[in-house]
Parts: sequence; structure tokens; C-alpha cells
Amino acid sequence: MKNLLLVMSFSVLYTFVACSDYLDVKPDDSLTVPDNVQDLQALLDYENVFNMQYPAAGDIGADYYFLSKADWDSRDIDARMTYIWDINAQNHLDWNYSFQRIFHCNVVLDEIDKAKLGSMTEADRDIIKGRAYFYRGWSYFQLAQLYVPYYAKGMADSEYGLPLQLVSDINEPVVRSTVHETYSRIIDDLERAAELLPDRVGVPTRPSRAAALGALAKLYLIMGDFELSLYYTENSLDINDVLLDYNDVDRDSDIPFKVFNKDVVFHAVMLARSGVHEQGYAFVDTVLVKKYNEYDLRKTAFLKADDTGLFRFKGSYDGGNYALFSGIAIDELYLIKSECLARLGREQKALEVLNRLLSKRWQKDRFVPMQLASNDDLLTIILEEREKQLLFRGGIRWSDLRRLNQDPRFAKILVRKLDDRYELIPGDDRYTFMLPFSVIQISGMPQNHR
Amino acid sequence: MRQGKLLVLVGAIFLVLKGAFAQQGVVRLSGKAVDEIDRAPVPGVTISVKDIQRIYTTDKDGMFELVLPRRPEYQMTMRRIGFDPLHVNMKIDKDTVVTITLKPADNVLEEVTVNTGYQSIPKERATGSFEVVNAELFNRQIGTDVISRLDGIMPSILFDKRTGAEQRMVIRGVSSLSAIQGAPLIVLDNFPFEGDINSINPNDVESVTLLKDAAAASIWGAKAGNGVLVITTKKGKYKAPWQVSVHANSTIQEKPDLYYMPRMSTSDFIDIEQFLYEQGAFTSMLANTTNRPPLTPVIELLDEHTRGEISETTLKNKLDYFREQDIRKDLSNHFYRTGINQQYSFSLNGGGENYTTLFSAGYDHNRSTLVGNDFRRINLNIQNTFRLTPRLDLSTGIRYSMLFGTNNHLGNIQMSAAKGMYPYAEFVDEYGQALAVTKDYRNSYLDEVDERGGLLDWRYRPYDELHLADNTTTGSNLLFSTNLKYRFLADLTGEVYYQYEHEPSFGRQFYSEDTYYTRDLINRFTQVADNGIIRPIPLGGILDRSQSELKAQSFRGQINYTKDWANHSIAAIIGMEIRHARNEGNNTRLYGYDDDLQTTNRVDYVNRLPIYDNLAGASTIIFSDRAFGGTQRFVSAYSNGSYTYKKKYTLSVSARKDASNLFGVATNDKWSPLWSVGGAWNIGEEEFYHSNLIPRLKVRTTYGYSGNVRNDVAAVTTLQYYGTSRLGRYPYAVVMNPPNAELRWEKIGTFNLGLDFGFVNNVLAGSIEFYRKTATDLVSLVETDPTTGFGSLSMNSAIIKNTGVDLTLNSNTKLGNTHWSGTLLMSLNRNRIEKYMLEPTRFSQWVGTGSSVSPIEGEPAYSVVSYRWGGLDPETGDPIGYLEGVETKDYSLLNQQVTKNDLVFHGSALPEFFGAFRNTIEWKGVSVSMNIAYRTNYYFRRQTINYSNLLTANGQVEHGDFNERWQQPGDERYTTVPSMIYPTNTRRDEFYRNAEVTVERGDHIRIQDINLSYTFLRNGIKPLRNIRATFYARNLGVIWRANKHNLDPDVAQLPLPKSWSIGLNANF
Repeated sequence: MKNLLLVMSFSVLYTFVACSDYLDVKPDDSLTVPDNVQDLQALLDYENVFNMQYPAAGDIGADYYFLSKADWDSRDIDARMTYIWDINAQNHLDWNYSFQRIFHCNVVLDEIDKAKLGSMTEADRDIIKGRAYFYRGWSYFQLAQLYVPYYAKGMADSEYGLPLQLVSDINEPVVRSTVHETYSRIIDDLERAAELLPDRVGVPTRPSRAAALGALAKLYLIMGDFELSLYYTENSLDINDVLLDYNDVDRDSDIPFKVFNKDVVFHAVMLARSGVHEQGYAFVDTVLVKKYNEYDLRKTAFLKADDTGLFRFKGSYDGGNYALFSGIAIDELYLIKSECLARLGREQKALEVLNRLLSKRWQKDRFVPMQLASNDDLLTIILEEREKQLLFRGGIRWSDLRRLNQDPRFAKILVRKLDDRYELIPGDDRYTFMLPFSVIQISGMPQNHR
Repeated sequence: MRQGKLLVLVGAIFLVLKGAFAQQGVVRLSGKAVDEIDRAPVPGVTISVKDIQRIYTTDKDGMFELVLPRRPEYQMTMRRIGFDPLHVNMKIDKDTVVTITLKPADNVLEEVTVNTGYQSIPKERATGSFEVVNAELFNRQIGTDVISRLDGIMPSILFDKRTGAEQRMVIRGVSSLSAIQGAPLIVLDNFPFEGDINSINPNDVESVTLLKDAAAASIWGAKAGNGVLVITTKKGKYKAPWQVSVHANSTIQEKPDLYYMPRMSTSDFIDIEQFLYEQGAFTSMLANTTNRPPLTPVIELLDEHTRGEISETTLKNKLDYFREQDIRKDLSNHFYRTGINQQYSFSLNGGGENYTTLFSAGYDHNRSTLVGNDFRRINLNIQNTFRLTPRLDLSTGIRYSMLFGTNNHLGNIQMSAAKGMYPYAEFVDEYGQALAVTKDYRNSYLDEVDERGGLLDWRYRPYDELHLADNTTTGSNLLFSTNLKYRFLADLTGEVYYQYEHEPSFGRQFYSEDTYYTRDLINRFTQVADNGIIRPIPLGGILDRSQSELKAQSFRGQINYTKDWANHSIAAIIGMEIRHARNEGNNTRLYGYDDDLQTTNRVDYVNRLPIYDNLAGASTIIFSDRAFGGTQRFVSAYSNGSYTYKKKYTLSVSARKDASNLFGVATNDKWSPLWSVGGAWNIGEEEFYHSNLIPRLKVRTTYGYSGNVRNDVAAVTTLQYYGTSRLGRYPYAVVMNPPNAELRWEKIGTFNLGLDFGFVNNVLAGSIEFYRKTATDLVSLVETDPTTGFGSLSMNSAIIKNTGVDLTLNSNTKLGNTHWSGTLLMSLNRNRIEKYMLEPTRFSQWVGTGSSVSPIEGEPAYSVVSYRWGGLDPETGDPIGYLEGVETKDYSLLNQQVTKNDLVFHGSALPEFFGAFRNTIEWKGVSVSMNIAYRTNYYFRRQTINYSNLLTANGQVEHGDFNERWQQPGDERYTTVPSMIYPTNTRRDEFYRNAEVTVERGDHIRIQDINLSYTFLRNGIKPLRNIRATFYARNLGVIWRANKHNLDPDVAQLPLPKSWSIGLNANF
């Protein structure tokens, strides 16, 4: 009996010690810990996080569209308040989704250097690292246009930057950085991405070097550094400057553009908020509609007349008519290049770039290259083309309004007419959205100015 | 008897043989104790002989052997709980073999043994807290499954039916913040049962034991935190005559009452649609020529009228017709019916010297109250035991069940994904033909498409769909178990258990070409080109198949040691257990499937294809094939022991360590040690205690720990692969858990103090128990700063304290031929969040229905919290709330900044005091039994109007409180329902919905069930022993309630249907 008990105790003891392997089996085959390069790549290919749900608040507040009173009434309260730039408008989803994306980037950046290669190569490791930097920098870029006061080269720093979450540890404290730190981080992330990413990619859900350079070009344009913006635009266009020719597009179709068309450098779509930008609700701004020339193909490709004589938008580069394209496209880079050149006094070159774009936007046989008038005129023309090309493109118009308001020549008072009339004047605090109340409550961070 | 039983009783007899007495001076008395009624052996009979210290016990086969010093006469007493004590005077002068016949006590109050799944313990020696339901009580209820038969017959178990599910149990309060984790562990015979609980045939059940406290449950370790329910099935008995038993019963279930919940009238809904139409809410949809969003017939009529296509009179006539319609009429007539459940079972059992056998079979057929749904089950079961040698027993059993389900009911019939069906929809015309209703596209558009030709019919006819649906599931469950038991010595046995479980299941959903699903999909992808029609989704049906399989193996080795000598007895076990379970499966879809020829057709999964008429952007064809799998492994080592002195004092200890392959946890943390200690004092056996009134009296107490395994949280970042991304078509993975290194196992400490008592002749007997259960390190979903990347995180964040009392009282009286027995069950549970580590970000997140846990310090885990109510504004009918004590109508601000003082804490959403009172009267074979259940001290929130759901383009018919709404100044004196405003304000609706005026007390009394039985031929006519006929009615409804709205507080939606059964049971 003693022997038996001994055997029994040993076997129990043995179990304690030796079962570690036995218990290392995964409870669900599809589970894994992100310890190899392939898993990290799979994480970055989660399109819901990395290619969707980009911030919408600025576009709800933008001036390229309007809602009827009846449709405004039937939107949810947060969308309604944002539409009229209410002081307490809440846009927590924009914040939440962006920081969710940033967290995912940080998981990848925390693990990538020590991750096992498996069947992948060191080159793959660099690319994945570059992608994580791109998505992080790009997300902070978008957030900065909503929640941080306008910032340009040479402006005074302020304490109202974004909280910079740079590791995946959820217990890290959340504190606001300065605006300068926020922008430095965005630039740093995007520059690293540009170093690590390949020039081109197969499917533009994944960022390329062209995309990272394009993002930097966009950022420097907003910051008013036209030389750097031009530099990055040219670098990006050096990789690929082939435009989609709207002459080849089925403009009569309700869905004229295919997803991943030639213009697309990086594919992303905006968060759909209470249907605000849906074709069924949003009308294209009537002043903007009148600006299209009759031979401008964008008029038919983008606009669809309603029974009432108003126009709907059908030109999303997403290839459908629900989600707004919110990525980076070559036509935008042409417009940036043209604007920078004009602002740097190289009018002739600026006009040439603009004409190259317009030649793909006008009816082939009707296109006559534009001739140069005065400098002021050219910039106005370029900015007007910008509006005509980039309406209903997520993340562009709101930051344009913020930067152009700095210049009295282009400053604009926005007006919403419902039963009441609402105005947003240049430089208004409401150009910077409030941080979500719940975030302020949990983190104790200071709220934006009101 | 069960194989797994610990042989506490075996030892005593053989010890004697070792020769403590000189052979000359002794006489040997041996024999068997049998039950007077069925002559079955009675184990565990204590035999005491006057002037002899030693107490003898019969073994598990009722055998005993006494070696006694030679005397002229012996005065002997035989006792066994459940039997009348037997006093005999015997004169023997030589070795004698006798048969002792014990007469069952009239009032059987207590099962003698409790089965923990590891061992059987005589209840008088147990220190822990157990509840046992024997076969007789279990079979008093009629039903298809095991679990719902326990409702109302066991203290401590609260059936929480708020979600409409009948089987959700809450045992002794709340010990976990997650509802799934809150379920008790279910053990079938020796091993945890992880298959489908509905596959078990309730007629195979011998008893159900509930293990409530730490000493009882700690043997199940890390899974026992919420209690353990041990289901013991019937087995054959050694040396027992063959017995056959046949059951048959039929149950009729009432058709669900769709009119139970008050609803606004169709006419009012049409008025609202007209109002919205005038407000322009549909203008955009009417103008939408891209997606052609569906519009209700009323909106179409209004539009036709506006466009001058129909006259004012036509409009009025047509609207008046619609006003008369009610969708519930067709639903009730054609989609619901009276349910019929049939159950048949047969069993045969018996045993010889060296073997026992039990064979049983069962068949169930349930015709659901939902037209199209049907369930069938076949059970086969064979259990054998062989005594291979006097020292070695072998048991084997095979349990097999097959389940067939048909799920063709359409469920909730929606107009589109976002919009419920309009209340004036008609599904069937006067000739019984199916009618089309508006579904995904405008009717006028479908007319246009019809004219163009080339497409399949695109209308949706729910009544046809009901008959076209072909959705079945088939499953089986095989349970093979075997057990070897070896008696090394009289007091030492070793046991090995092995169990193999195999549960494959198959799902098949066939959408024939006639179904709307298939027609719609084919049409959407159809391209009409100049040279003909291209159909990327081929004609023919679509077949979805799913397959999954669970294979589990369990192994247990255990050593039992029991010894009784002089005044001492010891019972101890030590063992270890390994369990491995693997589940695997896959889903596949076939397009262009022909059910007769089994032919299929290929589709292009790769390219984005245009959608007909550009109704949507180009899409790929749905690809739903996938495979999945997982492995669960557990290793446990356990031990427990008890020591009893003079049958008066018992001390018990147990310890257990569990480990599992939890993911993302360091190996050291996978082991979770748990323990318990307990003591019992049998006062009734004390010499100083002589009470003629209460002869039986026992106090017992235990303390210890059990746990909760959380499979859904991890300490390191974990990813899960999902499939192929939509656009890039890359394999992608999702972060399931953020790294959370500080996560610990949930732990539950339980203190239990119990008193068992029995008055003389068991006129009144029962037990009262007090417990305190403290669950620490509870994991809950905590709202976190979304800036971290997560809006909520699972964290060890709460401590819950449960205090409670369970009382069981049994009473028996006999008056002539009439026998009355009554059982009163009372359970008191008060659970409070003792500590919650995190501050709430907004107090408004506490308000609600109490259907999920809200961790508020000092409040019940499920608590009903409201906004304070300030009445209706007499001018506008707006609801008024309080913000920092001041009246306000700023509902957004209220939602953001409401303070604790502006809230009303009503109390628990689960009854804090509940139980049942069961009375049975028997007279000459007639037995009438009624169980009345009561629940008090809790609150529920009744449903009310939500204007935001009504006043939108996707509006649906709303609650009947619409009729009670404030309409003009003065109404505020009679109603609390706010006025209707447009545009709506979701926060205003939310405020009223969660204000204190929509909360009601849940207290109520209901008739749980009534059982009426008559036993024919009580004395039997060979070979028949008896026949019993039963009438049984269940869920008879509420007889008293505190709320004035005639609502059943136990359910959120429809009350459980009343049912009536008749049954017949014959024993041979």
C-alpha cells in the first residue's frame, strides 16, 4: 500500500511538472500571440481598422454639401449638432477608432523587432514596420485636423496637442503633448514610413512609399511649408504620376468609379456617420455645382441631378455610393504641386501641372489649356479646381478651410440654413472640435478652448 | 448502485475476520438486509448490539457479518435513514445466516447519500451543503429536458427567465460578473458534461445533487464557483429481480399570445406615417433612384396622391382599409400554433450475483409553437457492472442520443435590415394564398423590373417562405464510460475511470431557387447585356452546410481509503484527472445546387461583379466557407478526507489544484490551488441530548475556496485569425485581448453554517443554512479611456459579497388513509458589490433594466437604477429630470453629468427572497400535488414608448403607452408618458425610459405546476407491479402580483406558455 501511495504521489507530482507542454496547446486554433512577422502583417491587413472608419467630423462640418431640414431632423443628435457646429458637438467615434488604429500600430511596433521571421524575410520586416509607422502617423495627422488648433510653420506652440500613445501598454498614462510635439511625431512617423516602405504596392489598402510621401506633402501644405510640400509631392509623383482619364470612365453610371482606380495611391474610407454624406441625404453645394464647365467631365461623373434640380454626389473612389473615399489620390497630389508652385512664384510651372490634371478631367476634344493671368488669379483658380476635384473626399475640405482662413483673401464665412441660420466665422474656436467628454472624464486631460 | 461510490462502508465487516476474538468463544451471525417492498439489498444499515461497543454496517450489497462473543441472547437494533428502526431479540448458539427485512419509513425525508461526482457520502457524515432531488420528485415534473424540471423544487436555485430562456440558473446569488461564467458546472455521473444538455433523457435520471458550499463543491475546483449540479443516472442493482418500466406522456403547449404586450394601433401608426410624410421625412427616399429603398404601402399611397395619381377618396378608402389590418392576426393564425410534445421511454434493469444491467430507450417528439420548428430525440442507454473477481469490479456504459431539429420558422419578419415590418402587412389572402409584402426594394421599382424582364420574380411572400424553408440540424452524442475498481484491502480501493465523448453535429440550410434569399441574390448579380442575360450566381438553389464535432476524453485515477474502528471512522480520497477535448468543424456553401441530382455550379469568388442596375457598388459573391477548431485541456490533482469520532464529530478537509491550457497565461499561473475545511456535530447522538421532540439535530459548518475559469481574457496580447480581408484578400487577424499582465483568476470564498433537524416521527424536518460567499478578483468589463485603444477592458475589478439563508421544511401527516406532505422552500440571497476598483465615468451608465451587471458599490450586482423623476412639464409634456438636485430638461447634459444623488436606486433586479410551497395529498393511490412559487424583493423595468424608433423613415410600430401620452395641459395629472415631439430626441426618450416611473416591484406569486396522479393496481397483478396515470399542468400563471400593469415580472417579453400533460407509467 505504501508503494502504491508513493507511485500515486509521484504521478501527481509528475503531472505538476511535466504538464507544461501538455497545457501549451492553443484553446482555439485561430488564436495566436503576435510573435512572428506574418502575424503582425495579418494584423495590419485588418481593413476595418486600417482602411475604414477614418474621422468624419470635419466633413460633417464642411461646406461642399448641405442637408434639407427634414433630413437634418432625422439624423442622430451628434450628427445634427456637428452639422451646425454646435459648441458641444460630440464626435467620440472619430477619436475612438483612430486610437484603436494607433493601438494596433503600437502592438506591431512593440513586437516587430523581436518577431520571428518564419518564412518571411528581413525586407518584409522593414515593410511591416514602415506600414505601422505610416498608419500611426496618418491617424495622428487626421486627428490633428479635428482636435488640435490650426498649426503652421513658425506659429507659437501650445499645450493643446494630442496624447501621444507610442507603446501598446494600456496602462500608460494619457496626457496631452504640445502641438509642436504632435506635429513632430506625425512627421517623424511618416518619414520613417517613407524610408521603409516599397515604392509601389499591389493593392493600395497597403501603404507604399508614394503614399507616405504624399501624406507628408499634404501635411506640409497644411503647415504652410510649400517648399517641403513641393519636395514630397514631386518625390511621390516621381514614383507614379499617371492620372485616371475621366474620358475612359462610364460617367453615366450611378457608380462611375471603381475601387482602386488609377488615381488611388492609398485606399481608405471615412466613417459613415448617421448617413449624413449618403447620396440619399446630402445635396452638393449649389454654388459649387455652378462652377463646373459644361465640358468638364466631372460634372457628369460626380453629379447626379435630383427631381428638384438639386444635385447628389456619386463620385466616390470607393466604388460604391455609401462610403466616402478618405485616402490619398494622384489628382490631389497634382493640385498640391500646382498650389505650391504658384505660392512659390513659379506660375508657369504651376499652370502646366494644373493643365495636365485638367486634360484628364475635360472632354478630350474640348480641352484648351488654361492661360496665365495674374498671380492672385492663378492661386484662386487652383483652389477652385481643388474644390471641384476634392469635394466629398474625407479629411480634405475641413483642413483646407482651417488653413485658408488664415489668409484674408481666401477666408470664408460658413453658413447653414435650417429653420435657424448658423454661421462659422474664420478663426472660430469651433474649428477645433471638443475632445470627447468621456475621454476628458477618465483621463483628466484639459479640454479645448471655448 | 453507482460505480464511482466511495466504499465508506465496506471495511467494517471484514476487519472482524482478522480474529480479534478467539474462535471458540464466538458465534458468527451473517446475512443480508433487504427492503420490505422490492427486496432490494439495503446498504449502510447500522447494526448495534446491546453491551457491545462496536457498531456494524451492511456493505453496499446489504451484506453483513457479525462475530459476537457467545451470549444467551442478543438485543439488536438496526437503523437506516429512510427505514423504520428494527429492534430484535435473537437467541443463537451457532453460526447463523439471517435475512433482515426493513420496512421503509412512511416519511422518507432525506436521501442517505449525496453524490459529489467523486464519491458518495452518507449525508449524516457530510459537513458540506447539498441538496438532493430523488427520482420521485424529479419525475413529478414532465418535460423534455433535465434542467427545467428542477425549477421550483430545489432551494437556492433561481431560474432567471428574463431573457426568455428557461434553463438559466443562478445558484446562491451572483459570484461572477459575466452571465456565461455565472452558470453552474454540470456533472453527468462522474465527469463534467460539456455536450448538449438537451441530449440527456430525463427518464434516465436517478437523482440530482446540488453542491452549494466550498466543502461540497471544492472537489470540482476552479470550475465550481457557481455551484455544481451532479446528475446521477440509473444503474442496475446486484441480486435484484428484473424490472421493466414504461413511460408515455403528451404535453400540449399554449399558442403564444402576441397581444400580451400593449402596442399602438395600426391606425395611429398610419397617422404617424402621414405626419412624417408631411414633414418631408421620406422625400429623399422617394427621390432615391439609385438604391430604390423600400417604402411602406402607406407612403407609396401618399406619394401617388401627391403626384395626382389617385384621388382623395381612393386614398382615404385605401388608408381606411389598412387601418383595419393587424399583422398579429396573420402571424397568430399562420406562424404560430399550439405546441405538442410527446415523450416515450422504456427501461429494463436487474442484476445477478456478479453482474447488473440496465437498458433504457427514449423517444421525444416536440412540435414547437412556432410553425416550422420541430425537435426529435432518440436515446439509447446500456449500463453494465461485472464483479470479475471478489476484488475487482468492472462497469461499462454506453449512452447514445440522436437529435433532429427543424428550424423553419422565419423568426422576426423584417422589412429591411433596418426596418421592422409595417403593422398592416397581410401575409395570407382569403383563399389561403401567400401575399407579397414590401421587402428590400420599392414596389414601383419591382413593377418596372418585371416589365423589363430577364429577372426572377423579386417579391417577398413570408407565408411561402415558411413552407420553402429547409433548415435542419442533426446531431448525436455518444458517451462511453468505463470504470475499474479494485479492492486492495478491505479499507483501500483503487479506481480508474475513463470516458469518451463524441458529439458530431450537422447543419443543413437549403435555399431552393424559389426562396426569396436565392432569387434576390441571383437577381442582384444578374447582368442584362445586349447578347443575353448573364447570371454570375447560377440558377438553382443555395446549400449551406455546417459540420462540427466534439471529441473528449477524460481519465481519472483515484484511491479511496475508508476505515471504521471503535469510535473512529476515516474516509479519504486522493486522485488526479486529465481531460482533453477537441472540437473541429467547417462551413461550406454550394451555389446552383440541385437537391435531386446533387449537382452544383461554380461561381467567381474573386472578382468584384457589378450589381443589377447599380443598386449597390460592385461586390464579390459571398464566400462563407471556413474551418475552425480548438482544444481544451485540464489537469487536476485533488484530495479530500474526513474523520468522524463516535459518529458525533466530523472534520473534513479538501484540497485541489487545477490547470488548463488557458491561452496567454504563463504556465505557473495556469495552476490554481483551492481548498476547504469543515466540521459537523451530530447533537442528536450526544448522550446529554435527550429530546423527544427533536431527536435529530446536527450542526455543520464549512469554509473554503472555489474558483471561476475565465477563458475569455488573457494576460498577453492575443490575435485571432478571421479569414480573408474584403478588399485586399489577405489573411487578416484581429486583436482579441490587449496585453493585461495583471489579470488573476476569480476566487470565491464560502462560509456555510447549517442546521439539520427532525421532529419526532418526522412530523416536521428540514434544514436551515446560512452562508456568506465572497467572490474576489472578479473580472468585469470596465469602461476605459478609448485613447488607450480600447473603450472597455476586462479587469479584476470587483468584490461581491453574497449573504443568504436557505430553508427547507418538510412536513408529513397521516390521517387514516390520507397522507399529506408539504414542503416549504425559502431562499434569501442578498448580494452586494462590496468593492469596485474603478470610478464610473458617467453615472448615467448605471441606469437601465438591470439585465446586465452594473458594478455599483453597495448595490446588488443586478440592480435597477433610474433617473429621478420630476414629472411632466404642464406646458409641453416634456419629462423633467434632476441635475444636482435642480429640475432640468437638458437631457444631454443629464446623460453626461448626472450625479449619484440625482439617481434612484430601487434595488435588485433578481429576487432576493424566493421559494416555493409544495403540497401533496395522497389517498388510496390518488395523489394531488400543487407547487406554488413566490418571488419578492426585486424590481423590473416595464417597456414603454420610444419615439425615436417611431418617428423616423425607418419607424416601427411602438409600445401601447403611445395612447397614454401627454397631449394637452392637464394630462400630466393622469400620465407620466411624455408628449410626442418631432424632431425626436433620443436622449429625451432614454431619460423617460430609464426614469423611476417605469420601474415596478417584481413581487408575485404564481402557480408553478399541478400534478394529479392515480396509481392503479397498487398491489400489482403479476407481472404488473403498478400503473400510474398522471395529469400535469405547468406555468399556470401569476395569481398575485405587485405591479398594476398585468405584467409577468419574470420575463422581458412573452410569458412562458402554459402547458398541460397527460402521462402513463407502468412498472413490471
